[in-house]
Amino acid sequence: MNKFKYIISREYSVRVRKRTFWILTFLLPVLYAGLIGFSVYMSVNPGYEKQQVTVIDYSGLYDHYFQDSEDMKFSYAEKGTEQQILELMKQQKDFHLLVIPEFEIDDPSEFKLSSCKNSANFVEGRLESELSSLIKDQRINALGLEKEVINQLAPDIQINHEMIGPAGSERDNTDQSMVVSSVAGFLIYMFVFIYGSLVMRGIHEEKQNRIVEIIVSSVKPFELMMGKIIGVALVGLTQFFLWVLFILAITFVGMKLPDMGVQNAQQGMDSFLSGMSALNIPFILSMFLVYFIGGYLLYSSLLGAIAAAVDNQSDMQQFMLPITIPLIIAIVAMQAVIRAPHSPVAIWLSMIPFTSPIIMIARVPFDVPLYQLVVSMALLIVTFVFTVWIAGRIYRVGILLHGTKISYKDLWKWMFYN
Amino acid sequence: MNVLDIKDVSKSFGNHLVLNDISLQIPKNKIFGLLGPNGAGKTTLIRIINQIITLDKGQILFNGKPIKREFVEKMGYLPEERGLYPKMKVGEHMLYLAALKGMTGAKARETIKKYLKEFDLYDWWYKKVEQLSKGMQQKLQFIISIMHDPDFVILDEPFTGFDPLNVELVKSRIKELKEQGTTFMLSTHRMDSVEELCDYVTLINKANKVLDGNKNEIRQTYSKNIFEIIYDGAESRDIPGRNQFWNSFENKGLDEQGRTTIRFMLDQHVRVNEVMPLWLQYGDIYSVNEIIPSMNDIFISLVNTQADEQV
Repeated sequence: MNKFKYIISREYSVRVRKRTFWILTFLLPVLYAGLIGFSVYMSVNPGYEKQQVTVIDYSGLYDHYFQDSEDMKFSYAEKGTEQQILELMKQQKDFHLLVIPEFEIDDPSEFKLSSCKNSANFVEGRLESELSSLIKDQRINALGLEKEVINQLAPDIQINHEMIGPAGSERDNTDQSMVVSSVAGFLIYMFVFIYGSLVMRGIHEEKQNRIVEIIVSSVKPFELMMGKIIGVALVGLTQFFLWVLFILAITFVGMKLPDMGVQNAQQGMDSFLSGMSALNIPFILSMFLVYFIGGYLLYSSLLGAIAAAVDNQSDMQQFMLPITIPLIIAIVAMQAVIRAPHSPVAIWLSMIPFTSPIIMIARVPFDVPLYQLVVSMALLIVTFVFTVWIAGRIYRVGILLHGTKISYKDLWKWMFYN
Repeated sequence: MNVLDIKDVSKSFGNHLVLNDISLQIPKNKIFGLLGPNGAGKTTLIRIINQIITLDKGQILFNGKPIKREFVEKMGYLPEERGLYPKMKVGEHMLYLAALKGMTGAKARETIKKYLKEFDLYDWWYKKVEQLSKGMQQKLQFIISIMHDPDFVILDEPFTGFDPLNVELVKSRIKELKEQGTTFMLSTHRMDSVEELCDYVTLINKANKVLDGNKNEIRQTYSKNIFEIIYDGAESRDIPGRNQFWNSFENKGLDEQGRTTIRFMLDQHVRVNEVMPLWLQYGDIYSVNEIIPSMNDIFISLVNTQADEQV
């Protein structure tokens, strides 16, 4: 046990001291901050010039009707000047010509918009909706109705969506749950892949550079394998906690930023966060840890066994594929599971230990019945104990074997015979 | 007192029998040569002793007690297939491996320092292992096998990759440690090292032990009553009564100093003293030596005999 400690500590410290660990640890929150900052920036600064729209109005109805806005500026031209304007437009950009024909109010058609190439493409939609509302008003007038009366006819419905749980009525936080589940599911997928491959690479290197026989003359092969698996898991957890810390800090700083004309974003964020508070975050976090550790142990032990058994990289890919397929199925199925977290497929996939780490964590924010959680965790634990055991069997034999091409038959023999 | 008593140890991998009822005694404070052609089962036996793999049948006693996992701390091992973590720093690497052998703290640091100085590697303490030359890495690996002051050290091809100077350095260290009470098992194909270092040898071939015992006694046993005589004087082919004594006779001729060298194999019952007077008639005897077969000769002849028997 004492020696086990040294192995874990070596595996942990060599990785945590690597520059790449810190680069990745700092880079991800910075990228996250950049992403948030960028999306806020984009919502404030659309990134295009003010669009110049020249209107030629044959109907005579809209003289100086259009109002300049933040991103559009209107001017008006004489009838019959289309050709000259179009000729001028060839050298321009962000320039549009709207020609309003004479039209019947019952049959408004033949509106024409010409735009310079490389102009912003929202103009068409904006003009369509402005013209529609204008013509609608005119029709209301023609029918001799009051505009206010019509407006009163259009009801503004807001459904108060309430969730009934065992504790009675609860606030609806489906949006928040969906975000949390996809983030959590994706993180587990990523972690299992990243750290599983770290274990695999570590074991492969030990086998390739022949240090392993020196080590296993001091500790049991199983201790070496488990030391590596646990050491790498601690690296993963360290990285995760640092990320959580950084991201919390960045979010906090972001929320305290002075008014930058991002009030809308801020309000949206506030209401989103207040919805988050209805989620049981500590519970979700602890489930995240359980499923991360379970999924990681299951997959890293299998990947480690492969690394111990084979000699070269290309063989490794061949054996890896069947192992990673369930992970990929899980991440693909996750989107459907988030939309219908209590469907039979979701329930089954959250029970099968090879997909449960991703699928169950995606379901957890949607209040999974306790018995399902217990069954899923129990199955996961039993399975990883089993995979760690067979990995130990394969590892013990494979790690000292060189220059032999391994088949599935060999692996089977190592697992169940001496 | 034996450090190691190996009793009827057998091991198979699948249907392939690798060790067949091997029994060996490794006496304390000796160097024991484990010989055998490639694929004979030596590495398997070594791994069984090191508790890396289990035996199918038999028993191993270490210092008189059934061998247990904990005893590996009292053993040192330099495997044939050996490597180090290339990215680790030398000092840190050594401390890690020392800790795995149960040696930690200031004692570990002091011992490692002492050995690194002795092997001229101390300046490399903070350098990465991959920056060391192959020979330096070999020296580190040798230090690793002895630094925790083990009772028993297994060296599998310890001299490969060393220049002649370092071979001598390692050999002298092995001899010193033996003087201080360490027992060694040396597995090598370099028969000159076996001749020089080993007190006892065993030869394993095709899973079976074919030879075992004190090296000098074995050589005596395999000696065939062959002698080489050098005398001052001209050669003579016509030695009276020669057919009476020997069944082979090889005249190597006259050398530059006017001496004749003759090698002959005597009949089993004839002692060399009986034939001495024959030469005195021809000149002064300069030297008479019994030609004892080298371990190399014995190795080759035994392995070949076995191969012939199978054909």
